Amino acid sequence: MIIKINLNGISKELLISPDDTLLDVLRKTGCLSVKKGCESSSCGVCTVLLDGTPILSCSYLAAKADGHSVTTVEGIAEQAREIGEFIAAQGADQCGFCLPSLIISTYYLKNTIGNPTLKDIKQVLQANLCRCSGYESQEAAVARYLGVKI
Amino acid sequence: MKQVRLSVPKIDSSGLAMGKAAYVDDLAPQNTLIVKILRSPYSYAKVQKIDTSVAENVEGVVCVLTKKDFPRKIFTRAGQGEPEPSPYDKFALDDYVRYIGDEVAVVAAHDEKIAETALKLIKVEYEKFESINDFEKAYESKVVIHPEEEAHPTFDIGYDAKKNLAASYSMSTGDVEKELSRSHTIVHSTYYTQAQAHVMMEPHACATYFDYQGRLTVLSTTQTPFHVRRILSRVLEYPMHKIRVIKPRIGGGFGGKQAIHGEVYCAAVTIKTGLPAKLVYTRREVFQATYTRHPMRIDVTIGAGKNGIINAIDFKILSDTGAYGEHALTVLMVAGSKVLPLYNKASAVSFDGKVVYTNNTPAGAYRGYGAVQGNFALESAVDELAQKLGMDPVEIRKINMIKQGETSPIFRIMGEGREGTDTIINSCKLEYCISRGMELIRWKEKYPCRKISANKVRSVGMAIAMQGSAIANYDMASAAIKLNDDGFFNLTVGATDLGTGSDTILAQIAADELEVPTEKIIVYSSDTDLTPFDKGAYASSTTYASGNAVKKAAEKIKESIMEKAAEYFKCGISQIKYCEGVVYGPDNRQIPLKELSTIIYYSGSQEQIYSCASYVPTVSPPPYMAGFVEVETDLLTGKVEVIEYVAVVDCGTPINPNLAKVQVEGALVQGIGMALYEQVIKSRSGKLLSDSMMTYHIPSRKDIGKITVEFAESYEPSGPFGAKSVGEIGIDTPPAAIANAIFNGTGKRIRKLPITPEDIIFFSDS
Amino acid sequence: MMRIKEYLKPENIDKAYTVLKESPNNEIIAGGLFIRLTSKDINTAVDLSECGLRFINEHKDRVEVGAMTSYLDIIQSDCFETPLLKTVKDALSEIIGIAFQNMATVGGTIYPAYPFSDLITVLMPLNCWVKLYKKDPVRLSEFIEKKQDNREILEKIIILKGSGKNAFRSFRKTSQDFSVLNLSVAVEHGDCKIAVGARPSVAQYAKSAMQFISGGKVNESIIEKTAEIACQEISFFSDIKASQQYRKHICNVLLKDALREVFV
Repeated sequence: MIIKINLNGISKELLISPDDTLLDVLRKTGCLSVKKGCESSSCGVCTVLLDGTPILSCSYLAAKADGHSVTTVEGIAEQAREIGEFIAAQGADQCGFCLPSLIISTYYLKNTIGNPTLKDIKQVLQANLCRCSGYESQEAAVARYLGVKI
Repeated sequence: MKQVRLSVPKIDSSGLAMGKAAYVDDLAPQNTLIVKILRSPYSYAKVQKIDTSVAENVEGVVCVLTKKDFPRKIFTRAGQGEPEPSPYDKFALDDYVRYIGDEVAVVAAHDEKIAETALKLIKVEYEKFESINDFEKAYESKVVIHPEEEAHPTFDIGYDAKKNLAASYSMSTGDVEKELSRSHTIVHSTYYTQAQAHVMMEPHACATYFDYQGRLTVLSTTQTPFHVRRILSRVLEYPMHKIRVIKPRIGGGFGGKQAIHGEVYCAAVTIKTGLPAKLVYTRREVFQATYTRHPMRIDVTIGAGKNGIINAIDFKILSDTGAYGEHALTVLMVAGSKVLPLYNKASAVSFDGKVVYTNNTPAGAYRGYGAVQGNFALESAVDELAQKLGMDPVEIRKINMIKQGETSPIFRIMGEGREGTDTIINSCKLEYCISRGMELIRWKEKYPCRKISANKVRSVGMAIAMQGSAIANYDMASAAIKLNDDGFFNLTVGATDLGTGSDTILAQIAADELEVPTEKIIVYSSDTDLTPFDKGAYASSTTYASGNAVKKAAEKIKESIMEKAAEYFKCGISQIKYCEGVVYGPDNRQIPLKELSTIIYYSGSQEQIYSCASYVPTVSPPPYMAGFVEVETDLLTGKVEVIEYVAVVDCGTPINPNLAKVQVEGALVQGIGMALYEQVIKSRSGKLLSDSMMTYHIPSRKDIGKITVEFAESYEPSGPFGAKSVGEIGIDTPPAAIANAIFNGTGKRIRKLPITPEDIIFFSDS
Repeated sequence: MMRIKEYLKPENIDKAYTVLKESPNNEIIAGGLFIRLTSKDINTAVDLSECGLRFINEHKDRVEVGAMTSYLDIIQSDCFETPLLKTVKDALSEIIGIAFQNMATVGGTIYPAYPFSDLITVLMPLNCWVKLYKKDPVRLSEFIEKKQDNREILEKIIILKGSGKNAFRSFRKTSQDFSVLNLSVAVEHGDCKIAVGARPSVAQYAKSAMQFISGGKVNESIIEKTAEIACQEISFFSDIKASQQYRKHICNVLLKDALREVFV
């Protein structure tokens, strides 16, 4: 079947199977920032924004996204670069596999919570799991980016 | 222009943040065949009949491979130097399946759906056998897991397959019996550690294809590309010069990728069909059919005098290596060799360990590699000793622990698979680690505990640990550096960056030696065609061994540059000075490297300026740390929360302080997971019940408290710029520190991992 | 892996219902959160996203929540600020994370009566009704007691407004886990309702305990006895997350705590 989505600001028509996940379709379309980690909606590395709000693309049928807008890191390159710079300056990154999804969630956090606190950071990012970094440096980097004092 | 001790951002940071194609699944050719593996549903069985005809006829299926399609070559999957200290006990495909998840057949199809359909259509008749899933029943059981004649060790590792013994080892120094009989106080306790899963974010993946020269190229998420090349050549009887293994960016390893996994099957498909193929493990397969940490039972006996001085330590270990013996002996030995030397005042030490086969998911390398299991046992036992003697747990450690300038007979006796190496400890700041850690956590205020409400108590606990930096006299690292016109360098290393940032810190080491900014060193790593040999990322060897190789290569190329400059200035080399990327000659002449290099390649006495150096460590200088934890225990629910974890680490010079810190932070959280949350759970028949991230939980950011990491900068003379390694040490202390803190808060001594709320509520002292 | 032959997004519930009834292999897709965990072969997947079922409508005496309303919609809704409904919102806020909350739907949880569901447990002690399409509303407690056959469509739930107090408690081993046990209590004019879920089975009323505590004076000793009775009558089981013994223990601890909160 054919679906029409607004992918990172560009209207796209995509040929899919009804049981394709949005994750698989996005990766086929070249959005390699979206990763497959667990296939059970548990790890967060597949997080993208659907109409501006996070979803887990590994558990979201592509057909469902028909008529909606999808945002990946490829679509917020400027902001992703900026957040990435804070992460790099803090030395908070390791294997990088969870990094794009962390950036998506941080971007969402910045756009939805006015004066975030460290508690907000933990709450919004809690389902973005990371096995390498131990979280401490990531939160320091995100806090610096958001101008939150820790 | 010092580049070492600088928190340089990771060189791949922005690329990975932006989602650039970097991982195996990103870089695999388009339109590969998709490879899927049929896995055994039984713990122990024999394949009597396998009928692939229906599966083969499904449209879109290109081939189905079974045992007959592979040479009958037995090998070990362990990514270790040859001859491997792990038994050769695995065939690519065999009639026998020895755990639920063991490989039975291989399907390659045009897409994932077709491959999965075909898998279901393969008809297999199994003859089921009784299985052993309880490792305490495995030794000398009538159920023998490896009866095949071909299975053998490559040298004596205490192997006896008839008794289900994958490896065994014992040693003793001094007279333990005598010392115990003379001891004022004895502690005798048994500890159990669990199977832990790595849960690296990226599942194992590989892609194989023939390049334009007809050579088999393997993209793999491996920690050991050179071992993978050698093993593939051996197992598939394929000429090694026709194989190239490339490790691109990988999404974590922690030891779980220190072996060969799907590469054998994927490569076999490409060889048979001529077509590119890709095998990406599902998360379920990663849980079921890769590795876990070796679960162990450790019986500890400590004898001490009235003054608290430990005279004797005895370790008896039973370790479960699962269906195959990868890393069996080496993990067992590290449980002793990287733990016992902590208390070098003990004149009598003995160690006896057996590693048994069972029909469980195989155990393999996992950060800490036995040291964390041994540490949990010993550091819990030392607290038990302190308690029995009425001594402070910090004081008892201070009077017993190893200090700079000292040694321990264990270094000489116990290596990692072989004998060890006599070592004088030239860098050890344990005393500072302890005192600073106590300060940071406010130990004196908080020890042992304070009740903060009717049902909640906060308490503190601590542990010390050591690990190693590479394996002495065993593995080799190399580096090659090429000077380019315009004065920048290519650094090629076999060393494997698993996401740790080793590419970055190795660039810093070269940059520091060459006195240029790190960005002038372009790193390319882990490609068996293009990079020099390196054993791979394990045993905390990258900073220390690969780092030393890089430093040597940089020193060599600096020499070559100065020789060229002497030619250019037409003077003797003794008149040449090199400083911060500028070469100085006689009579105040000077030329920046940028210009000199252009001349060397285009107009001067033209020559490629290139160096290569190797390094084999002769010692393995241990990093040390002291870990302190404050926990809050809810006495009604049994829930234990980590309020704060303080770690003070001595890894010599931290080459990149931020990256060293994040390594320790990440390791600490894995250790906290091991202490409180993580458990591989199986049914009694060996079926894995915790086979997804919904049922196996790693800590999220809300499951840990504040983590504080500081470094005690010692200087290790044998390390590059004084560095020791830092990859594993961080994981060693949390299990014991947390168990000790729980005891201090509740009076409950729990000797198994993980420590769950049920353990607290239903605690019984027996 | 789920296989789907055809995917439809009907523009109203009637069309959706017609397609559903056309074949036993046609299925309703709500949020789709657990699609990767099943291996069904579906003929036509009927997605309710465009049937106008994503709403929270407040009336004078009740709040109606459409089946396709997500947990996040509830968490962000002004209609869930009154004391009783705030408890529902707070319970949902604890579940896993934003993306999960954005995908989990009221209908997708209640229709299959997921046993680990916090939503079902927190709604049980309230006056909550389930409206299936073309059927009369039934009490939530009755609905989950009956085994559903995937052949109906949940349209909305109706929560009657009330006075009184409620409380919700759950125990998780890690922040990303489902509840090992959850429970909720509500009291209005001395009449107390107690529901215990994730036992690991789905929420169940502790009827004898409710009878014991309702109507009379409540003090600490009554609360203790109530919890004891509840733990005797509720059935608990062991599974991968916890033992039967522990669930019973936790139920006792959490129930006393919740009762103290509402009877203060």
